Amino acid sequence: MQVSLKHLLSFALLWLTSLVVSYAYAVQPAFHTAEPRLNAVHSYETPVQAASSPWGDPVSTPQFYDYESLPLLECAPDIRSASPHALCAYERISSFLAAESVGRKPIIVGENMKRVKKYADKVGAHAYRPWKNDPFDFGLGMKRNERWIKDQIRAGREVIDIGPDFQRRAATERNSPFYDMERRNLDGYENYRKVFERSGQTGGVPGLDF
Amino acid sequence: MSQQKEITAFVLDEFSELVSRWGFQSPKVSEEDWMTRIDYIKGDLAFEIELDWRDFDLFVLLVRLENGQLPSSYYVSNGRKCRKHLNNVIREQRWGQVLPAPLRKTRDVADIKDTAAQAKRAFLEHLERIAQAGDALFA
Repeated sequence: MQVSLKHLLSFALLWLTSLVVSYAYAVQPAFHTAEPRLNAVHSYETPVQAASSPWGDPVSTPQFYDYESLPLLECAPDIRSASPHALCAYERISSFLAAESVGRKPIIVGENMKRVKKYADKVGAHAYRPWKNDPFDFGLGMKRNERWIKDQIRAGREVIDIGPDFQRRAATERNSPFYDMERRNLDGYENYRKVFERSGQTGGVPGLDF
Repeated sequence: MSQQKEITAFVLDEFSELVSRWGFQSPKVSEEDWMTRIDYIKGDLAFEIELDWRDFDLFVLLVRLENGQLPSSYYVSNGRKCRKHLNNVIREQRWGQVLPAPLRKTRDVADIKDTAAQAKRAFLEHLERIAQAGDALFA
């Protein structure tokens, strides 16, 4: 097979592009995986301003992100339409995170984020920290939450479910569509564990709900 | 003004009567990523409004204070109930009609403001009974 200079140059250009894109994604703060391992207890507080958001996702006020449970796709919402090189870099980081998930803190899910946070604090686990969604956009909030839970599943994280907020449901006669979505995604996930008791329309986690 | 701040300001304005007319302490406002809580304290009880920003919803609860302080845990503290939704109290005590459930699953600002106004009416309607029952509501 004859390899022309043109082919060689094309290959070299492709390889260089791959390197640059991989590096660019690897050094994004959101993709940075070394920091969380240096500090497994405390969340990292990183103010992000609208103007500095490289993903065009407007953030009007400084927010604080928990790097340990940061959703990968949340950080790069356009990753699925990115070049094969960028996807390759993303997949490598995903695989690395999956390998790293062994021994990391579990993720807590449940209805009512206040309950979830209280339980997570109690057992030393992590909870979803919603991005600011103001003014409220149901679709955007749902999309972000779903990306996050899918990222946790992809990374092989242990997920502990504290279940519905039965008291809130009794009071309002409705469920959280966000928690319902998390449950649908977790259906059949092998590293999922329930810690709540249920008896018809009542139940909860002993010590937290009753 | 952000939508969340607008709703918080509306709720504070709507319930200002609790302080000016009914002798509650000035509201304690706690803001977190996913929730803003507003507590009106009187005696050993608090009337609490939760603004849940993930679900974009408003909830109203009664809180049993511990040594004059809001309990740090959620529904249960030191083995006893410390928070109850107002609707559940009204239902348990058979005090009459509970706050109606909204017709739609997803909510908007108008729904939240409407719920806040209804919650105020329900709370004031049962205020005397709540004060009389006091701690017993959490048995």
